[in-house]
Parts: sequence; C-alpha cells; structure tokens
Amino acid sequence: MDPRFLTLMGMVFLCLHLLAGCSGTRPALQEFKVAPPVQACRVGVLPFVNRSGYDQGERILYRILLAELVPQRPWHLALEGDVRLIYRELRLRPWIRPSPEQMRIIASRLGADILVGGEILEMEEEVQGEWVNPRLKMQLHVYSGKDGTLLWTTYHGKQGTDYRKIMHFGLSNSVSQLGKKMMKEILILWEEKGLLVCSD
Amino acid sequence: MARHKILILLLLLGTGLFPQLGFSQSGRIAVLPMEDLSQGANGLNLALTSQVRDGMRDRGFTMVSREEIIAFMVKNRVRWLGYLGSSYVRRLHDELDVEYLVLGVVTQRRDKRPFALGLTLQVIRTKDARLLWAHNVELCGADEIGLLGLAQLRDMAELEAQVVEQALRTIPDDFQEYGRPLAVRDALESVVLGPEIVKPGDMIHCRLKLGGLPAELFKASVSIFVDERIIEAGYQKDEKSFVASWPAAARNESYPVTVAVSSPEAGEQQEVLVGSYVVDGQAPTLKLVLKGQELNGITVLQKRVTIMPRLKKPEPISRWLITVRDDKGAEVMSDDGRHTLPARFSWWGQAKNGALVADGFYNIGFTVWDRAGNSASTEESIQVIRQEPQMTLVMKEVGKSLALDLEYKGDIPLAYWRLQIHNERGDLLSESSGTEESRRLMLPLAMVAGQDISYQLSVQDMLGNRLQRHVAALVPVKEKETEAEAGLLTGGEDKKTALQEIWTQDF
Repeated sequence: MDPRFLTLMGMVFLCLHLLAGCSGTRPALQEFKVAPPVQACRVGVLPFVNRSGYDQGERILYRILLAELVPQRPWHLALEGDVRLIYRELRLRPWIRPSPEQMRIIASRLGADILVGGEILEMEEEVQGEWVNPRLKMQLHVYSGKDGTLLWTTYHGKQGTDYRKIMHFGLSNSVSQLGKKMMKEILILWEEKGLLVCSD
Repeated sequence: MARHKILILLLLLGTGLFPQLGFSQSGRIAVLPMEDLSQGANGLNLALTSQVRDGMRDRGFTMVSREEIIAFMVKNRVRWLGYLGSSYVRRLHDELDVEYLVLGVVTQRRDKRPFALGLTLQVIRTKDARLLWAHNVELCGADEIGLLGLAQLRDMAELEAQVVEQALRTIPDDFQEYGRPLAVRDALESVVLGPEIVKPGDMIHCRLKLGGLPAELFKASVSIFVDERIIEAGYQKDEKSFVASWPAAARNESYPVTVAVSSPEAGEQQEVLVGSYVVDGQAPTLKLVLKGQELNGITVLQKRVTIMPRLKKPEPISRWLITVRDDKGAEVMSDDGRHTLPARFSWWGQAKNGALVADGFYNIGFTVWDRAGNSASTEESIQVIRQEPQMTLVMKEVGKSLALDLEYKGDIPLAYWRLQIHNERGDLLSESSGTEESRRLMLPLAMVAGQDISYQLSVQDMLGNRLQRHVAALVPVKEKETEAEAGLLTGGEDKKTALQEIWTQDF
C-alpha cells in the first residue's frame, strides 16, 4: 500500500482522536443489599428532590425517567397522579424523602415491588453564544417495596460537552437532552448488573 | 408465482402510498391539555396540544374533542395538568368512552437562540389505568446546525413543528399489543386516616373511597386490621365512602393499618397497607434553664434573663406557652407559639405594655404540648433588683497630696468603677478604674493648686445597675482639708457647686 496513503490515514485517525471529546464518566452504582429483587414488575417512581434551584427540574427529570422506563421492560409503572395522591393523603412533602415505613405504605398502596426516587444535586445551563452547555448531577435511589429499605443507589454527573463526538456534533444542548441520555445510561447499567428484572 | 409478485407489489405500493393513514383498531383517544413546565408550575400549552391532537387525527386515530375534555375536567374538578390518577383515568373510560389517554408535558422551552424544546408524551389505557407507552423528544436549534453552519432553524415555530412531527412518528399505530391487561381490582381511590398521633383511648377515624359503581359498592365489604383487631367499615351512602372509627390502644407505639376489600366480583381479598398512627400517652419531660446572674441562690435579672426550655427526650411539639407572673400571681407577660419550640427566650424585665416591672420576685412558667396533646409544665423563679449603686467619694488634703477616698456601700457586688478628674479647662488630670469596693487615690496638690476641678464617676454593679455622676463643680482647692461626700462637694464661701447625677438603668 502506498506509504503516503497510510500516513494520510494515520493523520486522519489522529485528528479524529484529538477532536473527539471524552466519553465522560459512567454512572456510579452503590449496592446496599447483596441480592436485589429478582423480579420487580410493578414500579413506582417517587417525586424527585431538587437541590439545584433549577425551576421545575424535579418534574422535568421525573417525566423523562418515566418515559425512559416504559419501553425498557414490561413493567407496570404507577401513574404519577396516584403517587401524588398518596403523598397528599400521607401529608408528605415531595422534597423530603419518606421514611422506610412510609415507603412501605406507598408501595402497598401502589402495589409496587420497588420504588425509585431521584435527587438532583446540580442542574444548570451555561449559554456560550450559539451553544448551551448543560450540567447535571443526580442520584437515583431504589427502595424495596416490601420493607422500604434502600436497595441500591446510582450517582451520575455529566455535562453536554461530554457527549461531543467531533466538533459540535453529539453535544447535548439542553438539560432535558442531557437528562434523557444520562437516564438511558443509568438504566443500561442496571440492566448490565441484572437489576430490575421483569419478564411479563 | 406471478400472483405472489403482484400481491407483494400491491402491498408495497399500499404502504408507500398511504404511510400516514395508520390502521388503528383503537377506540377514542383523549389528549389532555399539555403542561408547560417552562411557564412554571401548572403552565399550559394549548398550541402544542392542538398540534398533537390534529396530527393524531390525521394519522387515523379517533380523537375526543377539546370541548368534551374541558367539560370532563370541569365536572371532575381537574385543576392540574400533566398527570392524572387512576380514578380519573377510569372515569374517562366510563364517562366519555375513551380508550386511551394521551398526557403531554413540555419539559423545556427556550424561546431565544439557540431554541430548545422538550416534549414528553404518555399513553395510558383508560380501562385499567395502565401506562402503556411514553416517549421523550428533545430538540435544540444548535443540534440542527450542519457541518458548514447550514440548516439552522429559523424560528421557534419551525422547531415546534419538528418536535411534534418526531413525537407523532414514534406513536404506534395500535396500542393493543402494549401492556398486558391488568386485573381491575376494587381499587382504593383514596384513604383518609387520622389523627396521625393520638393519646391512648382517643378515637381514630378512617374514610375509604373505592373505585366502582355504587351498586357494586353495596356488596363490597371493607375490613380494617389494626393491632390484632378487625374493624368492619360501614358504607355511608351520602359520602360514598366506607367509614370506621375505633379507640386507640393503651400501648405507646406505632400501629400500621391494613385494609382488606372483598366483593363478589373481585372474589379474593386484597390487603393493602394504607397508613399508620402513633399512640403517645407520655408527656414530654421539660426543664427550664435560666441564664442570668445568680445572687444568693436565685437568678437575678441582669439587663435580661435568658430562658431556655429543654426537652429531656426531644420530640416534635404542637404548641408552647410562656408566662411571667409576679409574687401575687398576676400575669405581667406571656407569649405562645406553635410547632417549633424556640431555643431561647429573653425577658428584659418589661411588662406587656413595655413598662419596667417593679423590683421583686417573679415566676417564669413554661408549658409545652406534644402532637398527641400531652402537656408538661415547669416553673422557675427570678428576682428583679434595680438599685442605684451607692458609692462615696471623699477628698482630703494629706500633706502635699490630695487624697480621694472611694467607698462602695451597696449590697450587690460591684462590677467596676471609673473616676476621671478634669481641671477647669477640661484637661484630664487623672483617670483611674478598678473593681475594689474601697480605694484611696493620691493626686499631687501642685497639679491642682489654684484650679477648679471637676470629676466624673461611673459605677456599675454586677446586675448592670449603673451610676454616672458628673460633678462640674468649681472647687477651689484649699490648703486645709476639703471634703466631698456622696457627690456633694464642700468648698469656700464663694464656690459654686453643680451636681449632675445620672442613673443609667439600661433595662
């Protein structure tokens, strides 16, 4: 093969490597129980706790998580309206994590095997001319519906530029886009680890 | 073979020619007004709602009219957007013959460059209130910029159209293959259990609302399991609810409440943990810590007294009351509050009208009530003493010096004194301070000879009572002994004495 062609190809690959952004960190998983439930087909998603100050951030991520969960497995996901009604009846504030006993009650009322709760630690958008660099740090907690204990938790933090492929391609330009990608990554991790198994 | 080819060709042509029609077997679909989170809580986006509804209609779905949806929301008092509970979803099925419900939420909307729009759609089967399908579409103007900065979005309307188009493209033609039907149980629509915390013997009330038709509800039986007891809830027609009441047990602990509903239709009983309550018959243990000057074994008001209520075993309280009474039992001051027990109070020795209270003994009483209504009270005494510190100053000629003898005659221990002596021009001749109760100061006579002097004396006792005496007296200092006592200076015949005495109370 022509050595000039090989040199050219080498330079192209080098440029691609340099231009490509870092893939960012993977979600960090912390398991608290040795054996998570094997079969968890009924899932309730609890209101997110928003510690970022981003207006409506908790509701944005709640809806995104719900939409990402639905196609994953044949789960029966509790309706947001039912979760909110139970919170109201138990006089729970959505920004405060319920106690294990309250978790048990919520799970029983929803008929849920597990409960998923979320916490937004950082959520912001930095406008840079024509581009926006969103930042998001969050935690998802999974609780047993049986006894309300924390089964595992996952931390994930990224920014829009972490998804850059080349030049401006691949960038995430809004918190909702970034949130969707991060939720997908968390759910993929859970699938890889064999958590949240449900076969209809 | 040729027939097969023709058939395949026709099929391909059919799908190619009518890709937008869909071949839905679905029943009526309702699109609720979409929530717009970019407008804050309960923001509304009617434009996108219409676009999604029209787009679905164009795809062949049978859509419920906007007017019908609004009428349903008004009738059922649905004052929120973006979500619905199962009972409302089933009502859509029963009242409007709706098969599927579409809930949409605008998760993000940025109206300035780079434009951004996020839309989440959910499809719920109304018969069993099961969430079947959901999808997020998020687009940003910056996503659409090509390699050379081409294909930029011109405005928000263009982005909206793209988002709606993408969202509609993902909606399946038929939802029947999604989500196995759920067994519709006699679902608990709502549970009101209370109070949360009670004293032993207090009544607990539980009101349960079940989904289903009134005719079926008559046949249903609702049992409540609590503390190894079974309480049957009776159906109240006017409230359309099952109601039960029972007295709280004597043991102080948390009691979970489980409900079992059985009906001829549902057959088996389904037990649901619906809540819990706590029995608390123990009064809080309260202690009052007073922070002030102690004198002869009693706390004495020193400018103010700090009162710190302390619970031996911290617990949430419902209310508190503090009162200050004089030795005859008359209330001079009081205050109360709810929910949070303040860490400390300060009493500045004033009555309700702001006036200073008279010297004497006072009782500070404090009462707290916990959430169950158990109360605890405690009382502490304090003394108010407001007396002018008594200090004398005697001036004598001793040899070639002027001796100034200070002597404290008060009952309350002395905190400090300070004495300044000025000549007639106002120059400071001498300044001394100390904490001793008696002290002799010596001033060279030559320094003050032939001059009129004045002095300023400040005295404070340990309770904060303060004396400030300014004697602007023109006192000719004579060769012979001169005496000044208790602020009264004696001098020559033509001397002029001006005594200005200030007692600063600081209360």
